[in-house]
Amino acid sequence: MALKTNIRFPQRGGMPEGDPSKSHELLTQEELESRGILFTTLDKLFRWGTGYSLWPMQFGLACCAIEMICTTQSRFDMSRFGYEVFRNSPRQSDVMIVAGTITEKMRPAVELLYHQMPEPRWVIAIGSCAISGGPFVDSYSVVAGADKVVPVDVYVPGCPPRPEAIIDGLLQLKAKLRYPERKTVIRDVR
Amino acid sequence: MSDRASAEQVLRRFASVVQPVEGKTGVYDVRPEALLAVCRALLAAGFEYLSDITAVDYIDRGVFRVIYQIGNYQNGDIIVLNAEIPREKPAMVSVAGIWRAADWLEREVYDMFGIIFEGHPNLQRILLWDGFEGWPLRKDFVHQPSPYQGRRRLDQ
Ligand code: SF4
Repeated sequence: MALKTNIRFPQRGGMPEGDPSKSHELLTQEELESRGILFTTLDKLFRWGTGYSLWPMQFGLACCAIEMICTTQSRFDMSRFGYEVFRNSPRQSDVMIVAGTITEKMRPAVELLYHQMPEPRWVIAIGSCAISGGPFVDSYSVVAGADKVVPVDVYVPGCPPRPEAIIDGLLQLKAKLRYPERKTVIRDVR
Repeated sequence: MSDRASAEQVLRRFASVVQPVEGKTGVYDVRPEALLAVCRALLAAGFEYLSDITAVDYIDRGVFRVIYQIGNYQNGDIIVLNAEIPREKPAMVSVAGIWRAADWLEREVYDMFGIIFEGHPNLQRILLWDGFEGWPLRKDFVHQPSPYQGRRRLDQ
């Protein structure tokens, strides 16, 4: 990523100008991959595979869970992306989708479920309740967001977010897995 | 909706302790000490379905109003009984011995208002966790947020 190239590409994936045999060391790893040269570590290969087969935990807390369920059903069909294997046990899953309001009474359970998941594990906070407490933030019983309890990787705003947004949240998690060094939102992850 | 004749018939026998609320159909004020007898008579007359128990905190008058909604499957009647108890001594008789449904409903009212239902088999908090301080639906409840609660300030 840090390497800079002075070769101009006619288009992404196209051949660079000049002598191809000498130009490889000037290209970044991503550019090499876009030209079909796989240059990897085992860790990167592992994260590439995980990004296509995340196993979320079947775990809903409030109304947002209905949208999460919709996302798995045939109309929106999360299995197009490889994320349909919802697990009932935290020990078999690697993504916790916090879908709904976390109450103070539920907080110990959310924490326990997170710690029961094997590493590496990720958390997606869905809906304004899981992001910040949502409409109930001043209530006597509601936790102000999932990130007060567990570390959150992706936030999906909405009350509730549409299933497309939930899919996008999972794709953002995939992007985070593929390119952990990038800080911005990535739209075209292959 | 039927004409609630079945309820009228029963409640006429308790005229000294049950008054219909003016302007509202099927709503009655009951003196709390007579509630158990009224409920037994209603059950005998076919009011088998206790659909809800709830309460209202009238803090300016110093009373809790406990509200019972009772239904009759045979003719579709639904009536509402209001019983008012003083805020200083929030004790009410439990109807869990008459309708089993009252068990959880009374626990919820206890949870939110701290009204003690005497004779209830298991009067514990039902929605809030053990160790919660105070009664959140009382008008004078002041919330002490836990470290996990409260609005986030962007400038902090
Ligand atoms: S964000 Fe909205 S839809 Fe989602 S759990 Fe909260 S209130 Fe329900």
